[in-house]
Amino acid sequence: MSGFCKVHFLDYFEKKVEDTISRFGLLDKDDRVCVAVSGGKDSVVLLYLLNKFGYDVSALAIDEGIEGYRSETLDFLRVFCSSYGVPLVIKSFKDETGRDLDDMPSHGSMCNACGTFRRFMLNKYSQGFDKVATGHNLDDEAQAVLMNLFKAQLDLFDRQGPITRESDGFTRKIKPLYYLREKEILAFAFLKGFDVPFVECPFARLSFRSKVRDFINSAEVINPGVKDNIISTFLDLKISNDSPVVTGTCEVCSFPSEGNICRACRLKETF
Amino acid sequence: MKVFVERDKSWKELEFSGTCESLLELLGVNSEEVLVIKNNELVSLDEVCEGDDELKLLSVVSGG
Repeated sequence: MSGFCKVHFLDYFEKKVEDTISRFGLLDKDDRVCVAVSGGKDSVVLLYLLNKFGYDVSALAIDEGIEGYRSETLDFLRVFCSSYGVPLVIKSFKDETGRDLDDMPSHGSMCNACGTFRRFMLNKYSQGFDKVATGHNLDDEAQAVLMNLFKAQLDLFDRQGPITRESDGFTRKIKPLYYLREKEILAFAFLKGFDVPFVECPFARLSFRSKVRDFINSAEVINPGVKDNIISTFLDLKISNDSPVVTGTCEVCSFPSEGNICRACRLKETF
Repeated sequence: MKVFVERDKSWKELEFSGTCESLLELLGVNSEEVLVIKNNELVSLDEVCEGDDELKLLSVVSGG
C-alpha cells in the first residue's frame, strides 16, 4: 500500500492522522472525545488510534434495527472496546423512536431516515463531550461533495470538512481520517490484525451514495488523483466562501433545527 | 487458483497466471474497491499470482 513496507506503512498512516489532527486543530489534549463507532474498519481504526494517542475516548454505537446487519458488528465492538479498556454505550432506534429502521416508512429511501436519526442521536448522546469523532475518510467525503452537488444541496457543505464549526446545541464533529483512503484504512486494520467483520447493510447497494461511489472509483482508475482533487477543490471553495447555516431550536425536542421542528421529529410524526 | 470475493461471500476456482491487477480486470472488479490478500499476505497490484495461490479480495467499501 502506498509503496511502503508494513512497518513504514503503519508509521505513515499514524503520522497522517496526527498531522490532520494538528493541521486543523481537531483536538486539544484534554478533550473528552465521543467516538462514533459502527464496528466497521473506519471507526475501529479511529478508536484504536485516538486511544493510542492518549485521548480520553468513549465509544458510542447506534443500533438501527436492521435484521441480520448490526448484531455481528456490535458483538465485535463489545470485545474490542473491552480489550482496550474503552467505555462503550449502545443506543437503539427502537428505544429512541419506538421503531426499528426495518419498521419505519421508507419515504423513498431508508437511508434518509437512517441518516437523520443517526445524526440526531449522535448529537444527543454526545452532549457533555468536547468533540464527536467519526470515521469518515477521503472516499466518504469525496462522495458527499459530489452527492450534494448532484442534488444541489449546497447548504449541506456546512457539515463537511475535517471539523464542524462551533454551534449552540451541537457537539463539534471531527474527522481525523479525512485524508486517508478507505483502502488504506482496511490495509491498516488488516496489518494490525483487527478481525473486523464485513457485513453489508442490505440497503447499501440501493443508495444514491453507492452509485456515486461507483462513479468516483471508475474515474479514479482512469485518472488517479480524482478523489484528492475533489477534496482539495472543495476545501479551497469552503475556505473562500464560509458562511454559517443559521439554526434555531426545535419546538418538540429542543435540539438545534433549521426550521421550527427538526427533521428527526418531523419524521417521527409520520410513524 | 482459489479466489475468495468477500463482498459476494463466494469462492471462485480458476486457471490463471499474471498480475493481481490483470486478475481483477478479468473478474471485472474495480481495483479501488478491494484489497488483495495472497496466501494471507497483503500484496500490491503488480504482484504475480499463479498455480496454487489462494487469494482473498477484501471489500474496502464500508458496510453502510
